Amino acid sequence: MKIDYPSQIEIDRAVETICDKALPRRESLLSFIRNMNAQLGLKYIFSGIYDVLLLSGAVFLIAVVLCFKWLPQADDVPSALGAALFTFAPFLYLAAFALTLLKESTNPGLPVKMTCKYTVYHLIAYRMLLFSLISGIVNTSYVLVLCLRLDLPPLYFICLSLSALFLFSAMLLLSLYYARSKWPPLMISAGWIAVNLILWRAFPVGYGSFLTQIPLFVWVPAGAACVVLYLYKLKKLTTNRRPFYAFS
Amino acid sequence: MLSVEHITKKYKDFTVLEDINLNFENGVYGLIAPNGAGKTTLIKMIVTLLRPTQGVIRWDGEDIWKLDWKYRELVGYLPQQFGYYRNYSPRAYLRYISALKGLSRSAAEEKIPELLRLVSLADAADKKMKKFSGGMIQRVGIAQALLGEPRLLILDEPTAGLDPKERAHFRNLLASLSRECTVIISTHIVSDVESIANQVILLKDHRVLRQASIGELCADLEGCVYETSIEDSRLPEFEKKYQLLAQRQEHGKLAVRFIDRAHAVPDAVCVPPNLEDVFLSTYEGAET
Repeated sequence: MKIDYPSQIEIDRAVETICDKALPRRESLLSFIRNMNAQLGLKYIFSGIYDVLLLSGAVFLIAVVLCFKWLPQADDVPSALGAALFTFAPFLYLAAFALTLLKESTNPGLPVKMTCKYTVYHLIAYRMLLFSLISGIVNTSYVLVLCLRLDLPPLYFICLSLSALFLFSAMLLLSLYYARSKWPPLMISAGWIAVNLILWRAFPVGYGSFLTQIPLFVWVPAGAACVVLYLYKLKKLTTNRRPFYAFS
Repeated sequence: MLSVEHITKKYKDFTVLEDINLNFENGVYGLIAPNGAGKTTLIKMIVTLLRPTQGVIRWDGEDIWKLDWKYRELVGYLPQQFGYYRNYSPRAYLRYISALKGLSRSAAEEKIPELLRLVSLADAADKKMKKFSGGMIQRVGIAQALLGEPRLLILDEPTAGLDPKERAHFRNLLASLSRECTVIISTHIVSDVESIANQVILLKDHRVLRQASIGELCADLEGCVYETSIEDSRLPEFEKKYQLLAQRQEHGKLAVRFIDRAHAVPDAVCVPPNLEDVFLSTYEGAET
């Protein structure tokens, strides 16, 4: 009797099933990232969105240059910096995320991608994590330069900027997780900038002063809580998948 | 294997599917219904693109939503409108999808050339898909659905854009695959499934009307399908009395195929019914 040797796919699947039964795993965020890297690599994780990254980077760069030019001329520099940082800290992250979501939701290959082992939710989760890390690093760098230039305390403004970034990121992720269409995440994205700009416009000095009067020991735990919530929900986004809602 | 249990799908007050119960083993299943009957909705629920409003879909007894990627790993899916990447070649696209499907690089490199040969795209493997015809694109779609040796292959209107030779080749391919996997073909083109389906599922009025073999379905019409020739002028009167299944011009007269349960046309010849007859008699008046 001849028995065909199993294909590589059958071998992989059988090994995976045996390991899974014998050693049930709860994938951590770190192992999720490691597995995604090993399986897909950055080439496929960011496939088709290089233009998004470039565009986001370019728009952000213009905003930073404008900020550098305009801030030293403001009446009350610390409060103007506080308002500007709180409003625009999530800008790079927001631009990259919103454009990615729009691009994925209009992607003709979406149904096939949503039925693979790694769905668009996995890709989005990974990208969001990386976008937030990049945004955090970039924000910290330019805030540091600005503070040194304007002779302001860098630690305070870095914490304010990172807290704003992760507060926004957590809100956006929650809306993506619970929403039943793509509109709530997009509305939160637009709403953050719009509401902050309106408040800033309505109270040119008062809004910035209010933000900069919040002490560091409030910004730090608030920011840390947002980071924890953000990372927790980011992982959940891939395991507790919701069908298509964010893309329909 | 796959079981669909009491599935209902509603959009606000509109019910698309109601209390659907189906069981699938290895073999080819034809899901036949007119356009708008809910075929694609049912398919989308089976491939986890939509959640049912009520009911559960199980794979080997486990809820497919709880199985998560372990279920998706077993599924090959060709959507009704296969969206492709214009600037990708078939090889690059299949590499991308195999990575998303979780195939190891070695397994993908072993499988992709085989699939490209299977769908007759080996010569165009490295050409950009923007230059491809509709049939070629559809063949790329079929290849991606077969990646990862799926145990459940779901094809929504798979033969759209294929020429007759490609259709025949595709049917043979599915028949050979069905020995080791479950193949569900959703279509309103009866000939796509007539020669290969082990079972046919008929949907009507948001429910499953029948799940049976082609032989069993045709048995319902046994002795009721007739053919005869009539003058063209008699057609309107004939249509009022009988359900017309087909007509063609033959030697200056009109050859008609129709259903007559009372055998009221004396010179008509009783013929064996086929799946097309079953489809037309089931969906009389429906827009197909």
